[in-house]
Amino acid sequence: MTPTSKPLLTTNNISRTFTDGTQALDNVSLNIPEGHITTLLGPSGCGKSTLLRIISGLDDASTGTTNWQNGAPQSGDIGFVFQDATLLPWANVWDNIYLPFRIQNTSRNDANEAIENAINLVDLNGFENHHPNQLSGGMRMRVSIARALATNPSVLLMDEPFGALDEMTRFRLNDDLLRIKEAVNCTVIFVTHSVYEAVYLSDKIAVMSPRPGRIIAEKEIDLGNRTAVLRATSEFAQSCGEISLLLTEGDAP
Amino acid sequence: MRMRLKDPLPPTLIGIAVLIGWEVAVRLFEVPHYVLPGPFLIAQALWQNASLLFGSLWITLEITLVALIAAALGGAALAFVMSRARWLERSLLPYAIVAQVTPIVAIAPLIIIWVDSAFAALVLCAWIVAFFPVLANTMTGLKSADPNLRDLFRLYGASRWQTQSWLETPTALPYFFAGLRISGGLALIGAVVAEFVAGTGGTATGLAFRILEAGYRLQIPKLFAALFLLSLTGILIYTILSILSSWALRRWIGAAD
Ligand SMILES: Nc1ncnc2c1ncn2[C@@H]1O[C@H](COP(=O)(O)OP(=O)(O)OP(=O)(O)O)[C@@H](O)[C@H]1O
Ligand SMILES: [Mg+2]
Repeated sequence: MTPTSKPLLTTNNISRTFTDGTQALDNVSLNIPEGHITTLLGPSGCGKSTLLRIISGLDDASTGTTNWQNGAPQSGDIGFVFQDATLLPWANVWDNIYLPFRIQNTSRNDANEAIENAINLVDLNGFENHHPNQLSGGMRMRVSIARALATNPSVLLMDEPFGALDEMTRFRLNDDLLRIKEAVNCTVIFVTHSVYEAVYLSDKIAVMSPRPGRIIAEKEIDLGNRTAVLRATSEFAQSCGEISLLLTEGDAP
Repeated sequence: MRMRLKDPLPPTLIGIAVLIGWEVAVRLFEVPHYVLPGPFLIAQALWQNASLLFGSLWITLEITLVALIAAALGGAALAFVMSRARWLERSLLPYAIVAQVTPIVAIAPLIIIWVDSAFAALVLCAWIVAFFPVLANTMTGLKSADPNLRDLFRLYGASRWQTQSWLETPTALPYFFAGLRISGGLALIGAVVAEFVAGTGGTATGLAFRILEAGYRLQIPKLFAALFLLSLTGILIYTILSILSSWALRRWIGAAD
């Protein structure tokens, strides 16, 4: 990541207190560099999901603002991937990916090319007519990613997308995500509990404190080419160690 | 969640065993047939009164089916209306509950007095008993959409109408059918109870009236024959609704269990 990368969006002093008095976020200011993967890493309950929801517009900050460099996002500019694949169980793969287009009143014909491209991207050719319960967990997650990408969003928000998958599938999807990101050249904000996943995927890691969530460190990662071998290098181990240390320090009273 | 008689063999064997045991016991202990007739005698009564009983069965069935269709449509429509707004639910639901908890035997005489057509009166009674499971289940279903899917619809700027027709309604469909299967049995019960209350007063001579009549005349085998037809009808309604439901929900395969 070059120091000159301009931010796609910036959060300015975002705090969020829920009506029941729970304060989830405390003064979060963060730059999300365009065309890169930024990971939010922090203990459970520190407000990572809340921050993603505020950025996506699903929730509102109590105080603070989100600034978008290229103007406020339109419908389809933001792709959201949840921890569960979150598919319509009664609809097949094609129809599930068609949903965002359908909501925008795009005809099936007009949407077809974008949908087929997205299906190609996640390697699900031939599964267009399958229903979610006929797919494995990893495949369902690919459908979810394809749906998020099909509208050609400028930012992809991913809330622990691979947390429920086994490790082998997770590794595979990590590599797929890196490949897809290069192919569509979008910005990714990724949430995870896993230090290893964060270090492997990210260009930048924002470490958060326990609730109320604050940003306690921002670290840029530059480990070069991500391949399976990378996980075995000492640089990788060192980065993981540093990040873990930051997390533990943040946890200390 | 689904109860289907997948393998009909075990229940059939049990049925045959019970019938044989019954016949043997009745003969062995010489039970008088005005107390408990054996299956053989009942079958004979069914055969001898076939045209009468099946005619009555048809009348009861007509009442039940019309009430059930009205319950399906009315219950679902009411659930939709109530799901549109909290205040609608708060103002209408209490009356639906009142109709549900008031024993039908208590209101049936009034309905029969108020409604001119005997058929319509009986249908109305059966409907009152049957509509609530459809209403309650559909209402639950309309609220059961996955919160993440709701967020997804919101993220893409879906209108209220889009969310209702593409998310809430399909989510509610399995709940609706679960309610409908319960309503099927209740519609029959409602029809029978209403017929009992109507008695000879009405022109309708459904199965319930045949049971009363046979009871007064101490034609116990005929009474049992009518009873047998009634349970057979109940089982038939449940089975048909189950088949209808799995056909309608074939796209939900796996999602419903
Ligand atoms: N709607 C809400 N009302 C009240 N409190 C809430 C609400 N949503 C979240 N919270 C609280 O805010 C805090 C942060 O929640 P959030 O879901 O953002 O955490 P998280 O970092 O995503 O945790 P996890 O890693 O477990 O997903 C939690 O303590 C949670 O209980
Ligand atoms: Mg979360």
